[in-house]
Amino acid sequence: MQQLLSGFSDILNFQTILVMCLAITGGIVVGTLPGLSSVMAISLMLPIAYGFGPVIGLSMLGAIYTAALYGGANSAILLNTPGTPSSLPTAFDGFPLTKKGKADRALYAALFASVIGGLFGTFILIAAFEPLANLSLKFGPPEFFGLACLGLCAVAAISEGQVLRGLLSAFIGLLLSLVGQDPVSGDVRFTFGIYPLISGIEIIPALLGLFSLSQAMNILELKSSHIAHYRAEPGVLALIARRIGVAWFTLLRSSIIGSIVGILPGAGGAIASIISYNEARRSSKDPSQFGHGAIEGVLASEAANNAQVSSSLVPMMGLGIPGNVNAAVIMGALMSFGIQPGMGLLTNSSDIAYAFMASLIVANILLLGIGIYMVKLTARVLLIPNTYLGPSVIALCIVGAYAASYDIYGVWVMFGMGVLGFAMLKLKIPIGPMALGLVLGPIAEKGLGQSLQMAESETSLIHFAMSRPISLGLFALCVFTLFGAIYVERKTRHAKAFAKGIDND
Amino acid sequence: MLKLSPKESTMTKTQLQFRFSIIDLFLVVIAAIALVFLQEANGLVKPFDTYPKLVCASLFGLAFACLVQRRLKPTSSQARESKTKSQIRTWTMIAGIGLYIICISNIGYFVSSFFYLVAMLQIGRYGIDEEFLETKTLLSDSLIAAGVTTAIAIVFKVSLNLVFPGAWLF
Amino acid sequence: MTLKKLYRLLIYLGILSITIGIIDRFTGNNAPEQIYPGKSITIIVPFKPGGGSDRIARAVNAFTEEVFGREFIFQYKTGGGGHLGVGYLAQSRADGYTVATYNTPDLALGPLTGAAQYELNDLRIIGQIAFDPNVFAAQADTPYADMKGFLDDARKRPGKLRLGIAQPKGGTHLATLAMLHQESIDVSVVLFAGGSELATAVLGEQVDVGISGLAPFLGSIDRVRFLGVAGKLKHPRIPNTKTMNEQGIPMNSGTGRVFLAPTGISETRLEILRKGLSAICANESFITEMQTSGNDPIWTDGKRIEAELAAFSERATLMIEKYEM
Repeated sequence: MQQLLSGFSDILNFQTILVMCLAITGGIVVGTLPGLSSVMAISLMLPIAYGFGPVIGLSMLGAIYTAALYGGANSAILLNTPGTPSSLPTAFDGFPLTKKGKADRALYAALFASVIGGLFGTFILIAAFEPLANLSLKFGPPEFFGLACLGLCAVAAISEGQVLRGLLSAFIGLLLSLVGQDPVSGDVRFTFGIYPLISGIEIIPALLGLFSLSQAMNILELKSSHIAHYRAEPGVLALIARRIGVAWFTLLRSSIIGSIVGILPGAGGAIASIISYNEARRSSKDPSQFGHGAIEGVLASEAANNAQVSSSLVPMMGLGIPGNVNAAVIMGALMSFGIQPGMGLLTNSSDIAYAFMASLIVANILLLGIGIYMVKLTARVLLIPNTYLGPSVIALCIVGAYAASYDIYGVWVMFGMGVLGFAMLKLKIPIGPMALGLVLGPIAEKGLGQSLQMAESETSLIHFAMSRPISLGLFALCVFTLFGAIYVERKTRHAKAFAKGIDND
Repeated sequence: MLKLSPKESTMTKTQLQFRFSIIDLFLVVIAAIALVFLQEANGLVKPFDTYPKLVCASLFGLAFACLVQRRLKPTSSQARESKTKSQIRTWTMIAGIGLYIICISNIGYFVSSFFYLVAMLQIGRYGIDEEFLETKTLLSDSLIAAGVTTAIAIVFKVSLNLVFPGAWLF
Repeated sequence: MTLKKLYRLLIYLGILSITIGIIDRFTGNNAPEQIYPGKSITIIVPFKPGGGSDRIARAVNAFTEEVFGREFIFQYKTGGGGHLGVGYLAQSRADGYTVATYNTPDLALGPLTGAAQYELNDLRIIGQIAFDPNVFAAQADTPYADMKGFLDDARKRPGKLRLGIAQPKGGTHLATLAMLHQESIDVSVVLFAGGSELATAVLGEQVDVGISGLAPFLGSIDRVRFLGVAGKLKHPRIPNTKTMNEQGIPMNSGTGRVFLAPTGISETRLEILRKGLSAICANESFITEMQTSGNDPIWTDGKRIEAELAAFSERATLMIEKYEM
């Protein structure tokens, strides 16, 4: 505690705060623009971070990471294009809100939820990163397979009313994720002779195509002049603050889910946000609203994905093993400052470690302030007429896809996925599950492949499965999720019938 | 969910008497692709063929189930006469993007983007005949196109040091 | 469309095209030979930022300004286990302004296993900046004192023990399979995408023993017991661990960090790059920095590496067929 307070005193000076404010602003912009990712931003700022020295440099990187993960919500809400895979579920309810003219509600909700989730995740990080790191070790390949299955079950559960189509879409995504190298054996497969496919359907170009490009195509086809009409609503902030007070349990639960999933190396934010979204839906009084503009959906998704930011640093700080690419880059920065993250972190470099963690708290608070101002700016995107917005988004997507893969091949992937996404829009097949399938596929495949290899040393597969309680627990959760979905569907059907009954009387 | 304004999308339904529409075609194609992948998966080494086979088989099953479901459910009558004009527009737009991408790698990023944006902005005026290809609007569109291209270029070049694809023109 | 508008359009396009042509002609890029490197050199990193290759490249980059006049420009090109990025380099202009970093012996294995589209002849090796021998690691409370003990136990219980290997189809994978075959050991092999995943698995007891470089274990070094070093010499960070050779099991496996340029680069420029990088390698601060991340920088000239790789390729072709990689 003492050390944490001294960490704060290291941070709370003019220069650090200024740098962090700039970093947060930049991070929000990076997260919002489809095609730019937090990893790019962090690695770009590395040389500058080195120049600043450990405390300011690390604070800057942490601030960018936090802000960029929040920024993804902006494009998800306004343009139906998640800036990162973790913001996918935000689009499910965020964009319908935009179409209803309530974009600023969604934007503020996302901001508040992100800050709350981020603060929660950071407290967890500070309080318990060493024991949590040990906990994360208990998750082996069978557990990851169970987690991926849980994500898929959540996807199925939220496709209310069109479960088959949702699952179809998810499995198309899984099929596409097969292309390229097997994540376990390294075998090249399903490339059908096209060499660039060896790196598979890369996720950023694919997301850009599926959401951004198909959306832009849709915009161009529509007769309407703007994506949605927008008028700044007075008193929105107070309204949202009240809603947040009411929805405190959703936020708490989502933050917990985000924190737990975040500590698992390689799990990723998408799993966290989709599971938390599904849970929010299941326990809401009116699940049918989800997918059509329920603020709770936005809250659940954003709290989870920002809680995941800090907790993704847990394995890195506790064991010296980065859990995702962002953590890896930050770890690189730490090591260049001569700090070896891992077991010796608190004994050898506790001052910098605590200063870094304190900076994450400060970053979240600053995010709230800066975010409130930027919401007004970003919402103005809706004022741009479609004739200008559509082509500009297309041009941006293309550059973004090129930047993500440094090859024109990435642009073609984006184009292909864009046409596919557009076709699916027309055919009323939901594209969200497909994106999730693409993200979850490699996790599931790796989990299963490695589990089967491990099982070779056991007497039988069943015997092996029985010896892994966590993985069994996750599969039980899968079943629970599916039953929960059926229960929710019954609940909505009864509610609708009840309402109809009242009308008929 | 991610369905975009169902009222505004134009869904074509051909030949009602055969009760076979584009969705069914799509599902059949998906099932076929799943089978092709399944065939490919046979060539993989155990145990790395388990997961691909699982996915392909499930996808095939799902496509089949969707087809069956469509037969059983009463067909929702959403057949609207799609204007040929808007269909042509859609396909032209898609082809246009493809052409643009080809031009990027063969001609160069900036030139292609500039021409593409001008073309798109002008085509946007296609319905309003008086404004189409008027010098004044052509000029303003060119400025906007140049502006957007430059803005994107600056953001990506300055921040990522991105080397834009260039062939015989920049 | 009226005729007048059509004319307007054509004239407009014509003027535009001429302008573009003129601008393009006057902004060509020309770097005279004498002042090489006249502009920044782009380095292609075939892995994600933050990984081992990236950190080493960045460590080198900290000294590039002294030696080459300006820093590198980093380009990340991931995919295919790194082979995609190297393939991209192989097709780049051989003007000395594009280089890449990668590892041996994976560089030679790529073309042989089909994971790569380039051939070794498409590349020139500038030099090797460090060699990172692989280590066998297990949880600290493992019953084995060294690899010999583990292998003896594996002989008694064939198929019952799990050995984790980092990077499928890489040099480590091949060398380990070769060692197991030569010692006639039957273990269940579990493959992991990279060192970080393997380290997590070892620490979490998902496998009994794992082999990878030392770097991923640096953060948890007290929770791990190292059973053997797979290189020719002991690893300076873990001086108490015997090499495999010392334990009577011949094995020489590790990762060499090399810098590459496309074939066709002029010999003068290649020499300048070689001299520059070897100077960085000899720099005291660079050596200290690399040692903190568990690497030992020793410069080996590119010509020697090229020869070693050629010899390795011949041996590897046979092994790959044997182990069905």
